[in-house]
Amino acid sequence: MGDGGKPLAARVISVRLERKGFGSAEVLGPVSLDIARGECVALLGPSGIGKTTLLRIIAGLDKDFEGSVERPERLAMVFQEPTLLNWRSALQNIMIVAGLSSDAAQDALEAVGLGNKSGLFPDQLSLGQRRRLALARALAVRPDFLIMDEPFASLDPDRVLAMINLTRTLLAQQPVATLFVTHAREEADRLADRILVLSGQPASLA
Amino acid sequence: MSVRKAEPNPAHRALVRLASLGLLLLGWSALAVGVADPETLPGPIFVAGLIVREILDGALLYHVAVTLARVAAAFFLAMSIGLAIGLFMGRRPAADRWLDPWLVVFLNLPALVTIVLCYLWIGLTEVAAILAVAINKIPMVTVLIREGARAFDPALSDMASVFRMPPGKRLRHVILPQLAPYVAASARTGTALIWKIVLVVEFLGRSNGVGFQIHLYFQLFDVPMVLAYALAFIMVMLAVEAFILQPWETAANRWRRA
Repeated sequence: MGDGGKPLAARVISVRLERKGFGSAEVLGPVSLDIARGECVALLGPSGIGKTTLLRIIAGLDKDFEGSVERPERLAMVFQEPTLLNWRSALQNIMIVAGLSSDAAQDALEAVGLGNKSGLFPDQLSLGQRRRLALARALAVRPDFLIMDEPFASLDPDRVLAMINLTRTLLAQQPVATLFVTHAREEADRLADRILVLSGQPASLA
Repeated sequence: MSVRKAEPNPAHRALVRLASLGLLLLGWSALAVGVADPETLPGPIFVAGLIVREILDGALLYHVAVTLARVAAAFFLAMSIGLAIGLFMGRRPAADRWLDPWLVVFLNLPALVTIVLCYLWIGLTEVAAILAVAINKIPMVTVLIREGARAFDPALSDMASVFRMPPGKRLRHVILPQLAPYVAASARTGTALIWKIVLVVEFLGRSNGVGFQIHLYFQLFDVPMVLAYALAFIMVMLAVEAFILQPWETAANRWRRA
């Protein structure tokens, strides 16, 4: 981790985890992680290693750990499942969660190629479309820090590629620090500026 | 929600319902002809005539309106309190452990006991009447809403907190839509129960309403008028169910069938 020399202001997120366990089982060991504005960091590791646990700590969803996490106010997350409001239309999903006007939400849908789906409910969209909607929602809040948890899981290989390219295009338009979790090396290679590997028991960064 | 079981078409179902109701009326008529005494068991046409007469130059509409107002007041009171307690108990396991025995006690309190005690403690007032009905209904709403609150999708709660959705928005767009099926179920069973208890409350301690009229004609041994008031109000409540509660339930579940 050669981030110690970076100026503090460029660091959007700073994680100093000492340990995390569930009961007596220690899941995560020491993890030190900084991400700068505009930087996309991939967190790689096999299933079950504790990537999601670490992500939940970083997102502030799990507060039961030893250590400290500094994170910005404006946070957005793309979850493993699209996690949409199934009872609201695609457009409303963005308006409600990101607090946008309908015009701005429509623009966000256009940006992910869902401009003509704004009136549909999430159940009427394909999985790929739901994933794009979740991405549009996350970016619509103009986050300082974006977390993505396996955002391309269970998509066809050619869809994954298209989705990665879309994500890269959109990320380039916003000065956002991104942490992205995956178990697939090639996804990390294509999207990330820097790759960190979580391994060991308890897991730490290698 | 894409898998649904096949249902016969709506027109066919409506026809069966109508035919079934027709058979019920036919059976009633046959019984009335057999008894051959309208003072003991009047036939449906006789009662229908009474209802029309009471609407035109009697006080039926006034009493139905009064009872309906009490049903509405008790309904909204029971639904809002039951919703709040049910949500609280469903989301807080510790509170649930403490409050659950109380819930069991109140669930098993006979309606008649609550009504009599409310009248004795508060007096023969409108407040006592509506409170007594609401107390009977609150535990049932609570139980249903608690089930709904336990079934919340934790992923959506995570989403709402990561995106810092304010509490009002979270309630309206995340929590209540997940609860909607449970709210609709308790509203439907709720009205069915509430209007029956309202009649008892009126019977025992009010000077107007359908229950009061039934009390009056009970004392006069006037079976036709008892039936006229009872059936008139049953029809009103069936209409409320068909034209208010069912459409609302359908609208709340529209996204499921989309």
